[in-house]
Amino acid sequence: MFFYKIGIMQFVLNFLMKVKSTLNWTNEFTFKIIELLQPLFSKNVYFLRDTDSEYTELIDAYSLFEYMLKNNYKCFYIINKFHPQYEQIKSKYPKNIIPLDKKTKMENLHIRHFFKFLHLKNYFSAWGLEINNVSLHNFLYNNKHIEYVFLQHGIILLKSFMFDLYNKNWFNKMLVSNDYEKELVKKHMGYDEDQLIKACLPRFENLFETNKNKEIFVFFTWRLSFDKIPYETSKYYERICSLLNNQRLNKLLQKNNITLNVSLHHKLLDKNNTFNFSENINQNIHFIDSTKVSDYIKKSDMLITDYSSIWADFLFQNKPAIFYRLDFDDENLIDQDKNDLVFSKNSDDILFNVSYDEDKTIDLIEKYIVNSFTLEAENIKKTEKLFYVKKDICKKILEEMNIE
Amino acid sequence: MNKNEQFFNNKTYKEILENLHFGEHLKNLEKKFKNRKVIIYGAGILFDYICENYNLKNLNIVAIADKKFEMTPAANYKGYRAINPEQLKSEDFDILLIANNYPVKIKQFLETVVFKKEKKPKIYFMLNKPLSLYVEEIF
Repeated sequence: MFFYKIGIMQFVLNFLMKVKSTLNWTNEFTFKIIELLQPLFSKNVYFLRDTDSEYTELIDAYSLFEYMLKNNYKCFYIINKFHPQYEQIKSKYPKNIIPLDKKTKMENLHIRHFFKFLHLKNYFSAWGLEINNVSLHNFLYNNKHIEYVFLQHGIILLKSFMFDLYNKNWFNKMLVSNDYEKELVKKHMGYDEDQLIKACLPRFENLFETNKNKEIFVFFTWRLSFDKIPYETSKYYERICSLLNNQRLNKLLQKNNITLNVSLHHKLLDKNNTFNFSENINQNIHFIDSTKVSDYIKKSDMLITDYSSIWADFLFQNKPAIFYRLDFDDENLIDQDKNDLVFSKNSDDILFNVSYDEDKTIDLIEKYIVNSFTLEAENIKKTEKLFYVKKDICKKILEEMNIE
Repeated sequence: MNKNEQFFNNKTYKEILENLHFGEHLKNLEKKFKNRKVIIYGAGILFDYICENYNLKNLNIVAIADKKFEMTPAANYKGYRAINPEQLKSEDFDILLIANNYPVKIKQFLETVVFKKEKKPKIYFMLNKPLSLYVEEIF
């Protein structure tokens, strides 16, 4: 009968999983050997890892990696071999990278780098991808000689869905950048005060750059809803198109010779990596590669976003950011996205320049163009409460962790 | 991009589940698990979509479990009693049905962490994606 196929299918899958776990016995056995031998070895090796995604720039753990290497720490950067930045990083630090490929996968990382694991003191993870390998994650989280640290890749202030992901059962310690974030993390993610590293995102240390050209950076967070509903029918898409086609905005850009650099999620782009939103594309509007976002953060004078955590990169530099919540009223979004939008509203008082309609957004853009993108004194004062430190960030991280 | 990523990339759940004839598969699950107590594991976008677009009344779902209920406990989720993974150990049920695009690692987590010292429950995968994609996940 037809429904027996489910039973057969599951039987086959269970059998294959048993075969795999039997083959994995060497992995489990090696973890046990490492645990036995660890007390005999000095702890002076550090692993750092960002995302594997080929669409995302490697910047967070990488910034700390570069600092630590420069200061003679024995550290290694774990990187996806197929990432666009791989060759560049490999040529710069050939002896300090651990590429992930068909041979070295997360599941056998400890076998291929056995002796490094014996000396491992800290594992810094910016994206927590180790959770995809249950054995490795268990080992890192439970091992008493290794501190497994969540470096983060953004500041948790405006997004509530993060609470479900990176809670106290995932990491031993977590980096936080300000008191607001600290309280949210303690309340919603279960971390104790002594598990929190009070510093800032290491990538902020490399932010400052002067640029003679006037540029605005546009970056909207992707919506989880678009796994369920086509984005073309969403208010998100409709209002991005409307904003970029806005006549007043286009005149402002042309009149003041300002470039609008737009980074859109790769799923919005076609095969040619372009976004067809208009027949008459303003030549002041450029669509940029998502792996080069940090270059644009440094050289842009202002940010337009909804609630992307990139706001922190701009405010850290005392550059203005406009929070345009373009689809706050979209009833078709899934609960998770709606909850994030509602949650982000809680921080409207902590931040500034929050807008829920296009006209007000253009008013704000115009205001800052006229005043040469200068952030007001009262808003600079607000930003000071958003960052524990503004210089020597990596040094502060290591101090907080008692790493000499 | 691996085969699983290609399978899910740039597609809505509407397209994916229609291509998989999920409606028929759901009827088969109902027949197989008739009179059995089922707990769904995975209160994510996939389950949300299935809940809103398919009729689950013929599955005797006694609860829904997810890690997210550890930190933000909820009495109910989409009309079902919500529990966290640890609470599974004290639940009375026959079948655990994982609702996730990548259920293999969830099964591994449940068997090696949650039910490490307990008798393992019968676990099935809710999504009827092709066997080759599951094999890719496993190996």
